[in-house]
Amino acid sequence: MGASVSKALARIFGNKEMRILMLGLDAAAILYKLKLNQSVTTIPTVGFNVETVTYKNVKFNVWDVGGQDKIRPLWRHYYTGTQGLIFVVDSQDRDRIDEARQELHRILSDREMKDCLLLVFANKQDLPGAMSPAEVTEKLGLHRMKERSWYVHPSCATTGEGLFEGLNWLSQNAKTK
Amino acid sequence: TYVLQAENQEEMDDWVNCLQAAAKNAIYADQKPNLSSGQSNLQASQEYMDNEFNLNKQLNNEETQISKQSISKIRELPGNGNCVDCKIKDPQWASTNFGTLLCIECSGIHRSLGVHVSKVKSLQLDKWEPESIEVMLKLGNLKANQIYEAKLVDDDERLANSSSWERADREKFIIDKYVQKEFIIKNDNEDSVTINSIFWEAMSNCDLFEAIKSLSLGADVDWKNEQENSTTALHQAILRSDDVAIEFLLLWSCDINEIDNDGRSALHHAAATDNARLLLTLLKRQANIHLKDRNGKIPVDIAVEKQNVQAVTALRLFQFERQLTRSEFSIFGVDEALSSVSKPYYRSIVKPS
Repeated sequence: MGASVSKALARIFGNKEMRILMLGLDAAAILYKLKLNQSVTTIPTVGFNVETVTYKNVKFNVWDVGGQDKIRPLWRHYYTGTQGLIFVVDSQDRDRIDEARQELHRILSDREMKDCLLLVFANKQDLPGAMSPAEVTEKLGLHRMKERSWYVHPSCATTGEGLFEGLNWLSQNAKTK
Repeated sequence: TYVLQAENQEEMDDWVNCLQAAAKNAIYADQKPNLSSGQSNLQASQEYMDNEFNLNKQLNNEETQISKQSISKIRELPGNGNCVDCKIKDPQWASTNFGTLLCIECSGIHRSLGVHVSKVKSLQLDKWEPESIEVMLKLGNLKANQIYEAKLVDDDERLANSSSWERADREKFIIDKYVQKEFIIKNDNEDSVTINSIFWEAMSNCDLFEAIKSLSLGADVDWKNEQENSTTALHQAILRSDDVAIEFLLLWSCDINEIDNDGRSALHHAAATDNARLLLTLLKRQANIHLKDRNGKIPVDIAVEKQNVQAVTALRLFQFERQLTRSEFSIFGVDEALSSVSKPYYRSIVKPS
């Protein structure tokens, strides 16, 4: 029976494709963990990386764009057609969470991004003193966002924990074309 | 916006590689050493790139110039011509708490260790505040390695072929160096009180080299000096309005809300000095504005008492805005004020030699 259910699901969700933009610290590590299922200590992204990841019949085109201060103005060039934004937060870095909040709201206020889903990875959960997903939610001011579907999920890029649960949420909440 | 289409995967990969290379070139364009021949041509194309990518538009030209000069000063420090860990040439990344320069490969590993070990920033792709530049200028690779590689001799086997290390070798070395601290020289005669007071004294003189040395030996960044009313190094730095020492302590994750014998935090002391910039620096790092001292006073009470107009304004506006908006956009421009805290202050102006 399980098999027939998943077949039915495949028929409903089959051939779905999503364009995902991933921004924030260590997004590259997440991208390659998803793609290769290898724990890679990545170097910071300068420019961009793009990979296609297929999960549960959904093809995710994931764009990872470097996030250093001076290249953030380039982010907007990647907005067009984005259906889901994955915003990666370093849960351990309390000093910069406020900066992350400002950046996130700036991205989402762009006209091109008004309908996209928001998935936040509260990453680096393996490190000491990491903020919980609830704390990240509060610090990013997500509760005030009524119009948008958003979801915060704890993750750890090195072990891969939480990553596919996040993609799952994206695929379930994507509007079918 | 452009939509690019490719016939097949291979072609797409080619295009992606090509675009990535172009983007990288554009981003690094302004750090390439100036070539004396054909310079005007090069400059023209650089200017074109800058405009194209909107990179420098919002940056005040003068400020960019000054910070560029300071950044090149950092590069010139002894030892900074090579990565602090693998010794490869021309490192472009920095560990801001150690005050060192490192290559992109090693920076990736530093980042993975977490910000409690190392805080990584790009020399030219990140913005640099004057205080952090100042911290970098007081340290550097040579000094850091006098501490963290004290036991390693020249041509040490631990460093053999370091420039061609695989990721695993690199990771092992960096963990041994900074987490296990295998290469530092310990003095068994020194107890923790001695080490802590050496740290406290060093910070009082803003001697960052001594400070890191004692931190490497286990000094507590929040140690309270009982002979000085149980103040921490941060309290003392605030009392002296020493921005560089404050920045350094914050980089080493000191507890911003630590209190002295009077129950006063760094924010209480800053409120007493009427230095709005100091207050904003602390507020930006989430200092607690509701903390009561032993007389039940919160920082703004102290500012009011002393009739410190700037301090009262800064504290009230900050509190009001956070209450009102919780987390969205800035109404009174507090966010803008916070991000421009250090603008009026620029100590590290590089004198032309």
